[in-house]
Amino acid sequence: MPKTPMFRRYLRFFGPNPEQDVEDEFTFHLATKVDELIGQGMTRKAAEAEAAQAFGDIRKVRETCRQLQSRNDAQARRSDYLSGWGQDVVYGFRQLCRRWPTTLLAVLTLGIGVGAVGAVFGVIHAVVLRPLPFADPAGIVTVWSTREGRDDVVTPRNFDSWRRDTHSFRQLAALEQSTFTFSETGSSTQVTGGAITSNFFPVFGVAPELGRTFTAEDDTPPRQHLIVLSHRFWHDRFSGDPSVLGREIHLDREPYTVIGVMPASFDLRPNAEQFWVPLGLSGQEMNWTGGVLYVFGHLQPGVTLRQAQAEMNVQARVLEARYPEMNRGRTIRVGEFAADLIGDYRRQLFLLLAAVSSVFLIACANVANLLLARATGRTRELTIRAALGASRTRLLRQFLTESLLLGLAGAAAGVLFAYTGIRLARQLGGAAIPRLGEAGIDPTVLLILLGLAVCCALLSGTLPALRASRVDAQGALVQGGRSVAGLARDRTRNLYIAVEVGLALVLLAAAGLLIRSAIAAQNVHPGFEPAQVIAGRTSLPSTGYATAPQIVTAYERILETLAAQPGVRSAALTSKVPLSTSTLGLNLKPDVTSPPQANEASTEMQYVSPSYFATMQIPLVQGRVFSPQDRTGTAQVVIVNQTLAKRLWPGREAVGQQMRLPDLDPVSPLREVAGVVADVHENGLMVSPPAVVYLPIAQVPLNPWHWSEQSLYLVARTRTGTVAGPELLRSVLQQVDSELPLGDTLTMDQRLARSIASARFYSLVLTILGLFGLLLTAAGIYGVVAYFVSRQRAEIGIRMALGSTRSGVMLYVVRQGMQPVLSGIAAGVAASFLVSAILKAQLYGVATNDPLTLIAVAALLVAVASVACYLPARQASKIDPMIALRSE
Amino acid sequence: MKQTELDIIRGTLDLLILKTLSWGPLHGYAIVSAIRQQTDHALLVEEGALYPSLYRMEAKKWIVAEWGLSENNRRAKYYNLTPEGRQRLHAEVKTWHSYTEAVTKVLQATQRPAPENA
Repeated sequence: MPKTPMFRRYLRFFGPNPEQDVEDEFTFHLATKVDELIGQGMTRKAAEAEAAQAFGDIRKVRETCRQLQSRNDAQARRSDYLSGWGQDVVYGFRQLCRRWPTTLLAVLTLGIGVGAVGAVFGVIHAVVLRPLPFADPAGIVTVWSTREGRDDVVTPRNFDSWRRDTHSFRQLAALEQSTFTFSETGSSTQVTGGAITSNFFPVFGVAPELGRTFTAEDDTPPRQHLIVLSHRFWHDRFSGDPSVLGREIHLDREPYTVIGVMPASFDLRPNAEQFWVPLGLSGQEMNWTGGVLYVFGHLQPGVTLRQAQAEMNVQARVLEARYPEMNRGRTIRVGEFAADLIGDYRRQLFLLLAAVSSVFLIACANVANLLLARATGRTRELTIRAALGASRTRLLRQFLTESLLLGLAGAAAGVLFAYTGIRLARQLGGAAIPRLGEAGIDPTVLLILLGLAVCCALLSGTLPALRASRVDAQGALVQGGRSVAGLARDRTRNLYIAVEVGLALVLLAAAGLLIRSAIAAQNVHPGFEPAQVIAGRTSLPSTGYATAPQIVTAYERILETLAAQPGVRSAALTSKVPLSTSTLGLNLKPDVTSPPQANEASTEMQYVSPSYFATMQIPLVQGRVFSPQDRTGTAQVVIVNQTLAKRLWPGREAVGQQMRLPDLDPVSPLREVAGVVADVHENGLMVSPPAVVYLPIAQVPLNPWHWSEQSLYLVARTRTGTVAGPELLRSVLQQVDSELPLGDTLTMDQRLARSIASARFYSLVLTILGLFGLLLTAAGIYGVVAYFVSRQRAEIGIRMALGSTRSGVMLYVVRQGMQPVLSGIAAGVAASFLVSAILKAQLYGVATNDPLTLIAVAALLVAVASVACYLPARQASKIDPMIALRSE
Repeated sequence: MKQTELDIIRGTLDLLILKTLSWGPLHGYAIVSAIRQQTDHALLVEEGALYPSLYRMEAKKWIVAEWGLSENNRRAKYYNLTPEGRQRLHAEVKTWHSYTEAVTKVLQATQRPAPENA
């Protein structure tokens, strides 16, 4: 057989054409036969007739063959394509391995970007997006009695009216959260429990894991001594023993029978109740004027939140007319339970998501730049392949395949980063943020990770490939890879850098603002002296301590014992310590006699032992502090803080003024202001001090004792050098009554640290993200400038040959690199004005557009960018002009 | 068409083509000529049957086609045996021999055989 012509090229260029192929083959056959017959002496005409006749029905044969041929071709194309793709994968893999430093950098960058987004998304998915594990979670609502825009707990009478008079809810249930003394053999602890109406669990549609919940009968007074345990409490205290059902346990020294255990999925809120008992409000308790109840409801099918709210608005006015003393100025708010559960975290988490998205975008820009540089470096390879007949789609497919491989590797790295991040977040915030403990990498998160990584890789890999594959083969070959498109590519590159710098600046500015507010919060003087002070809470059982004097006497004995301990410098009692999470939940309304204007402002109340101000070192501003002589028989006195004094008697002397506290007891005597003390940051360093009125414990009526479960905090300031530990308080309680519980025991330093923990956490996370952004940006700038130098060797050589100095060359290079950095900074400053407005709610003690922060951050970026430019610039200045020119 | 030429028995055409190609690549016309020559013009391969047969065997990957130049400098499609085709040829030849042997035995028999399970 003679040698084969380039049939394959024929196919490649025009694609297979089965009809033409069959036609050609038959024509050849007939022509050869005719030639042969003519050679045997036939005339052309006769030969043609003979050949056609021998062939038979040519049309039928042709049709059969065409069908067969096109089937063969299609099959060939498929296998060709697949094997070609396989080659692409192998080739792409080799390419990635050969340029492994770039590949590694790209994979790591992609991994960091994708992993950060994945981690935060995983958290958000678990905390915010996933529906609650209830039947019909959207129908569950919380109902609040609201005053001055602040949600408040509900009075029993109001709750009763809501339940009877409204129609929007299928169920309305109430919970009274209180602290119980849980006694085990030898020790007592304070545990938070909930007294609930029998329809509480049906509201959520959750059945018990073991046993039963309460029936309507259990919920009628007198209060039944039955208890349902939470899954957590059951595990912690009874090691998950199923035989716990029917067992008697002691709460407040009274026996309760365990009738059920709730499933783990019901433990939604951190620090929530550990067990539940029936509420069973008695007739007397129904008359309480103070709010004690949290109210949960389940909307009727077809009733919207808005309709329920409208009905409750009417209800609020009805109740205001019916029970004016309880409801004046109050409205009712119906809120989504899920939203209330998550509260502020939703906002903060989405801010975090925005922050990590910026890191992701920076990472994307970096990867794009890396791949762009690589695509440019491969112009020669592409040109040669194009010249050898590779089509543009074929080249694109090659790039696509490589990007896909890169994206998959990036996703794998991202999963690792995200996994680490989520674990870290669970450790740091698991106890405080609802449902965070359930965060993990589930299929949704995985899909998002994969999608982001592959999209980023494809986008950043394909755009340069589109450009590169459009190469003008001849021109590029002649110019050795430097074509006119290079200029456009530099422009893209600079744009990427500007975007990166802008994003990094916004991130760092946000982190800077948060750091500054964390520092500002840390520098806030809390209003007391925290060093060497420990405080813990105890409560007296109601049996044996039925009257106010009995309670006071018992506490005074505890206080004496505590003060007598070696190492204790000063001791005191108080109903609330600053920065503790427990509040009495009282919105006192002081009725001021002179001037007789009613003041609606909410005021906190504390009752304290006379030694409290000295022990906490809260400065006295005016008048006197309490003395042991301030008792039931003597003149009723109060002490107010500066905020309250300023609010009630602006510009006048507070000491000597008189007020009533009608919320406190039915027969509210006139109380005289004995002194004014300095403000204390009771509710957090970043929250301004509330108005507070202090009462001496010996003058407290019985009602507040009931509300607070007859509990007080023991406060001890120890001598320097003595460790202020919980053992101190425990041993005192042991000496007085071995069954007195101790709870919420922390030093004041610990409370301070805890109160700014979340601010610190967010500023820490944002700082880490900002530094990642800075690092990635620096790497990006370095890469671009280094690439610029490597491509401009000849030009730099010429400059030097023409007499440019080394420092001149360095300046030239640095200027090239810094141009996009400066425009990025300008854009970033503009953007951070917008962002800081959003951050406003998280900031304390720093202006949103704090110029100092912006300047510092911009300076930091310029410094880092300069270093990133300087290194390649120094390289450039060492170029030997002769070698550079000759190499071209 | 001369009446002396024999029609090819159905099924044996593939075998003949495979055997013919075992000497090397050929185009369709050359295959017809080769079989005619080998059989001293006794066997006639119908073109109308040849080409579908070739295309089918190509689909079965027994043969591959490639365009080339003919002796008279025309573009022609050459067929060549694949390794599978060669294996197929061996198998078919074996079957053919046992088949003809069996047929021959029947035809050469001199008397009716005795019943087997008598």
